[in-house]
This record gives sequence, C-alpha cells and structure tokens, in this order.
Amino acid sequence: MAGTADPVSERRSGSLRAAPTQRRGEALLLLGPCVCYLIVFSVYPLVSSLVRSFEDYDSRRDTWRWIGLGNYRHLFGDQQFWHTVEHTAAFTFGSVALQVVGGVALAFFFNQRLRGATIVRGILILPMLLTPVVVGLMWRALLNPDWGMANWLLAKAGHSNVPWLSDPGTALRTLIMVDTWQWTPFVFIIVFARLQALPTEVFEAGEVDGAGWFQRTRYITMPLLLPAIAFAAIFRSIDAFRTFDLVYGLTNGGPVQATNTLSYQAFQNGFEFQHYGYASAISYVMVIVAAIGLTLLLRFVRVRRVAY
Amino acid sequence: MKHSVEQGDADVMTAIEQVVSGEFDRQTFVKRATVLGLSATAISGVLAAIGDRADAAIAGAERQYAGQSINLLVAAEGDDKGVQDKLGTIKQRFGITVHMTALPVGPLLEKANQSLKAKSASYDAIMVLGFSVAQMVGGGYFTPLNNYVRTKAPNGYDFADFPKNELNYVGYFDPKHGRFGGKTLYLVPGLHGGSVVMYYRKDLLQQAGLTPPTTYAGYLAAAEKLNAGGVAGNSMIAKSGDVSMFLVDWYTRFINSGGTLMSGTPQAKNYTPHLTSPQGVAALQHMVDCTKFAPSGVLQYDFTASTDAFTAGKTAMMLMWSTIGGPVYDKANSRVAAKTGVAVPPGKGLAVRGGWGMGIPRNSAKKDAAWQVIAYLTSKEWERYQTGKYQTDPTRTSTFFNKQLDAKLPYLPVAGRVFDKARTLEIANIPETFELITAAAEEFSAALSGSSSAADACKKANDRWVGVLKRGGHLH
Repeated sequence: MAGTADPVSERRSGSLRAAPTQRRGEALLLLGPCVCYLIVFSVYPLVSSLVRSFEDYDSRRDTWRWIGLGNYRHLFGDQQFWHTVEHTAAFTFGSVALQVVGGVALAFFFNQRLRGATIVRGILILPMLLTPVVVGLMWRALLNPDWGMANWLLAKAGHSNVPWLSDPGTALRTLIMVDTWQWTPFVFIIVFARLQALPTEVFEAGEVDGAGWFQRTRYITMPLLLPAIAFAAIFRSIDAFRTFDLVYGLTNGGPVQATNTLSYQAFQNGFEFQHYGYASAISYVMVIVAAIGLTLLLRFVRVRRVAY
Repeated sequence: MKHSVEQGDADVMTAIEQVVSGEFDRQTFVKRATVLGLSATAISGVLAAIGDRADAAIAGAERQYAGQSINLLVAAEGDDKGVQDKLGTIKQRFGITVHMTALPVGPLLEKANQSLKAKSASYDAIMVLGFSVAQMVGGGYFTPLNNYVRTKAPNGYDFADFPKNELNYVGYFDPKHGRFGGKTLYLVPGLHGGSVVMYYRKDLLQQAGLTPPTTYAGYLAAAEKLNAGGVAGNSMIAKSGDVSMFLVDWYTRFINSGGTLMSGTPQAKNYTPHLTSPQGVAALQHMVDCTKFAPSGVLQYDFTASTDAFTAGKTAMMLMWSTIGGPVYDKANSRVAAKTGVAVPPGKGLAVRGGWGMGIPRNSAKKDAAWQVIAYLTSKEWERYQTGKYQTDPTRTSTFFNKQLDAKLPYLPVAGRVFDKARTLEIANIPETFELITAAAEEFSAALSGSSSAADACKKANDRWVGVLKRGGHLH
C-alpha cells in the first residue's frame, strides 16, 4: 500500500503543497483592501492622534511643537477635566442603569402577549430611530421654560416651572432622562427578542417542580436573559460614555459645564479653541478608560451562549 | 520747449486713451487731466465725447473675470439673504458665478480655518469675525488688499466712508506684532458691523412715567417698575457659555462703570485679567438683580430668544447687538415695531465693537474675481439694500446716517453713534479670545442661576482666564 497513493488524496496534498505561494496571493488579494482600509482609516489616525497628543498646536503659525507629556500633565492637573470625568461617569451609569431597568421591565410587560402590543411596540422603538442631535433639539423645545410642553403640563397640574436645562443641579438629570427616553427601546428590543426565544420546556419543568412566578423569574428567566442584558448594557455603556451629539444638541455642555462630557470637552478644545493636541490627549484618555472598562466588564459579565 | 509741449500732448492723449479703454475711471481722468493742465471745458468736452465708449469700457472692465466662479463663505446672520438676492446681479454685471456657503459663527470658524490651512482654498472670499481676526489674519492666511483698494476699487467705492476705528479692527492688522491696526489692509469691513444698543418699549415707559434709563441703577429700577401685566421688565442673554452674554450684557455694564478688563500686554507676558475688579463683580451682580424682572426662561436665552421675546412684546427693555435687534422694527414680523425706542447703553454710551471683515485667503486661485465680488458686497449700493431690507447693521458711515434708511429704521443713527466710539475688546488680539469669553460666560451663568455668588463666579472665571493666558504664553 505504501507505493499506491490515493489519487484524490494525492491531488489534495498536491494542491496543498502548491498552496503556500498561491494561497498567500489569494489571501493578500482578499485581505488587502480590508487591511488598507484599516491602515488608512483606523491605524494611521490612531497613531497620528497619539503623536499629536504629545504636541502643542500654534494656530497663528500653523506649527506643531513637541511638548512630551505636557498635555497629559495639564489634563490631569485640570479641575475641569475631573469634573467632566465625574459628569461622564454619572451620565453613563445613570442612563445605562435606567435603560436596563426600563428595557427589561418593558420586555417582561410585552411578553404578556397583550392585545395591540405589536402596534405599541412599533411606536415604542421610534425614538431610537432619531438622530441624537435632533433628539437634543426636539427636547430643547419641549423643555423650553417659556413655551415648552413639559412646563406647560406641569403648570396645568399646578406645579411651578422646572429649570430643566438652566439649573446646574437638574441639567445632568435632564440629559439622563432624555437619553433614557431615546435608548430604553434598544435594551427592550434585545431583551425582548431573547425572552421570546427562551425554551418553554425549562419553564414547564419549573412549574411541575412547583416554582411560582417569582422563583421562575429569579432562577430561570433572569439567568437565561443575563447574556442579552449584559450585551445591551455593554453596548449602551460604550455609546453613553462617548456621548457627544445629545449634549451638543441639548445643552452645549452647560450650564456651568454641568453636562460637559469627555467627548464634548474634546470637541470644544479641538474644534472651537484649536487645542488639537490637548483634544487628542482627552480622546486618548477616553480610549484607555473605555478599553479598561470594557475588559473588566467582559471579565465579570460573560456574554456567552447558554446551554439549556 | 517744443519737446515738453509734445510730451504734454502725448500725456493728454495717453490719458484720453486710458479713460476710453477703461484703465482710468472718469474721476481719475479728471484728476490726471487737471494735473496736465487741461481746462474744465476741455475735460468736460472729452468726457462728453467719449461718454458711451467710456461706459462701455467700464462695463468691459467690470466683466474681465466673466466666466469665473468663486466660493464665498459668509455668516448666516442675515447677510446671506442679501447676498442670495444679488447673486443674479453679480452674474449679470460681472459674469462671475458665486457659490455661497452661509454658516452660523461656530461652524463658519471651523470651515474657514480648515480652508485657510489647506493647500488650495475651498473659499475664495471669507467673512471674518472681528474676534477671530487675530487668529486668522494673524496667522498670515489672508491677501493684503492695499493694492486692490488703490487700483482696482470700482467707481465711487469711497473707501474713506468706512469708520477709521472699524478699519483698525476688521481691516488693518500687524501680524508681526499680533496687533490691530498697522498699514497692511487684509480685510474690508462687512458684510455687517454692529455694536450694542438699548431697546425699550416707548409706550410702556411712557405709561409708567419713565424716561429711558441712563444709569444702571435707573435701568434696574425701570425693569422692576415695568415688570407687570405679563410683560417682563427686561431680558438679557443669560444662556450658559453664550459668548454674547459676556459681550452684550456683562461687558457693556462693565465698561460703562469704568472697568478695565486687562492690564499688561501679551508681548510682555504680563497680560492680566481683572474680572474680579469691583466693576466686574458689580456688572455681574447687576445682571443677577435684573434676572428677577426677566422672563422665567431667561437662563436659556441666547440673542435670538431675547430678541424674539422683545419682538413678541413679552419684554420691556434689553441690551442687544444693534445688528440683531434691527428686526424689531420690521413691521411685518414685529408686534412692537411702532412702539420701540432705542438709546445708547446706560452709563457712558459705550459698547464692545462688533463686526466682520471680508478678505481673500492667500491660497485662493481666483483673487481678482474674489476682489470684484467683495468690492460689490462692501459697496454703498449693496449695503444700503441689505440694511434696508434685512435690518443688519451697516459698516459705512454714510449708511448709518442715510436719511431714507433712518426714517425707516430709527435705531440706525443711534447705532451709528455707538459704533463710532465702540471699544475693541481687549482680548480680541490673542487667539484664545473665544475660549476666554466662553469660560467667563460659563462661570457667570452659575451666578445667574443662583448657584454661586457674583463674586465667586467672577473669581472662578478669572482663575480660568489666568490658566488659559498662562498656557497661551501671554502671562507668566
């Protein structure tokens, strides 16, 4: 048998032997455009902005000056930056927590298969189809203290005007409220889809074992939903952490920088004040924080396929 | 002797040829002919004889860039409407196609900066805000216009009609030393000027037995008294971070109380802010006091909201950019057009100098065509049209004090008086102008919302200014 080789396997092994050069060519052809795209649009800007974060831009002379860690030193020594970090953290945790609670609650509610639920579900997801900057402008009108609908309704109910966006104490809460209004449907859709796909057998088994509604929810539904909830929460956290357009449309970071987020601070420094190096440093801090946060989240909350 | 007579004849013939060809306009020909010794009769005879041909030649000269198209970047502050109206005229008269981009201030600065620093220009003519002159013109991005004004200005352009102080603000600049003024002209004032005036409801003041306030104590007292019957006593720009809050409301109160914003110079690196001076704190405290007699939503008022509230008859007084407030006299859109009076700001009648300049970027490939369009858009003709139709503030003295326009827009002569002696913002000569104003307007809003005292807000603003100035190398 040793001398008689199977022609098919020979052909296969032959083709495999011929592969290295030929397949490398194919691989380069297939991967090349993608790699080029990544280099041009991701790697180069990342490296370039990293270099810029160590430089200072002089807008009058249009020149860059190497200042080493100067931007980072200034950033970490700037009280405004730490306030912005606080606001960003409060906004991220506040809005994501509310969205997760709201989204899960809505998913449970619509899982009851109530009459007309399909239409209501359709309406419910409309906010997330809007562009955040438009949402910001729209809510700015709704919350207008003179003629906005929110204060008009409060006045009808006998309450005094609420300074939704003009008081440093309420502005961030208003921002969280608007973000929650827009993105709770996102969490709802993901959790609801998962809820609909859960196997009925485990619930039937639970019922047979005498588990009540609370126990079934606590010990069966929630563990099975957890990956979907974690996915939605992680996705929303990343999005909320880099929120810019809503702030731009609704508050411009005010009042008194009470709603200033890291993204908005980077934008303002880069595009309004032309501190491009400083803005790059802020962006890099954001990238690092997001990377660490995401790694930790993925470590503690595993998004994995669940075996039933 | 014979030689000099022949030479004189040749010079006269050359002058006649130049006026016929359009190289000389009629005015220049008259000057030249007078120098050459031609009598008035002879000059008029020549002008009469070449009348039509000269006109044709001028028309020919006007169309020498016909077929070209230029990109124009202007502020969307009403100027764009007048430009839009006249695009057809520009095309018909000069044969130049103008593609206009009109943007609010923030995006305009972004676009302009990008275009100025590119290898080739996206825009051939750019409207530059006074507060960004130091940054844009100071960066050496604009073409000197002295020669254009001297040799290529159209007939009757009357450059001397622009107020000297405005020319020293949005006209001449000394990039070497980073100073306003100097001998090199980079921008021509336009498409609108502006300063701050006080608008008030004549009818309400009369009913209350008041005259327009001339002091800030009087202003506050009037605001309190007028705050009745669903009309707020006054309004202001109080939105956090709004640069106009600082420039219109705070700075007007500040300088009219004798405040001095800065001491030292950026060059000597001892440029020191005085926001915490008694006048600085008093100006902010006055604003805080005025909010008690302002509309409930005043903390979100930008200049549009404040003007709209006044136009709708909801407020009795306001300090406002004269160029923004003009539409309160627009009978078609204002409920108070016939009831509005205007006065110089209380105190010394001082205000910040506003306004824009038009310039040609160095990297433009169509400088001559751009100049022709700029010369038209900064001409008396266009400015009168724009002011009359859209009520933006002019920059030319002759437009401010034009009888026909003044009858229609009674605020114009008052605005003209304030404009004439308006003060250039001290920090407008450094690139960090906007950053500083924004910082102050953010901190001041804390006092306006009641979450901080006026003194604390001024201190925080001052501290932020010190930080920015140190970082910019203007203060050690």
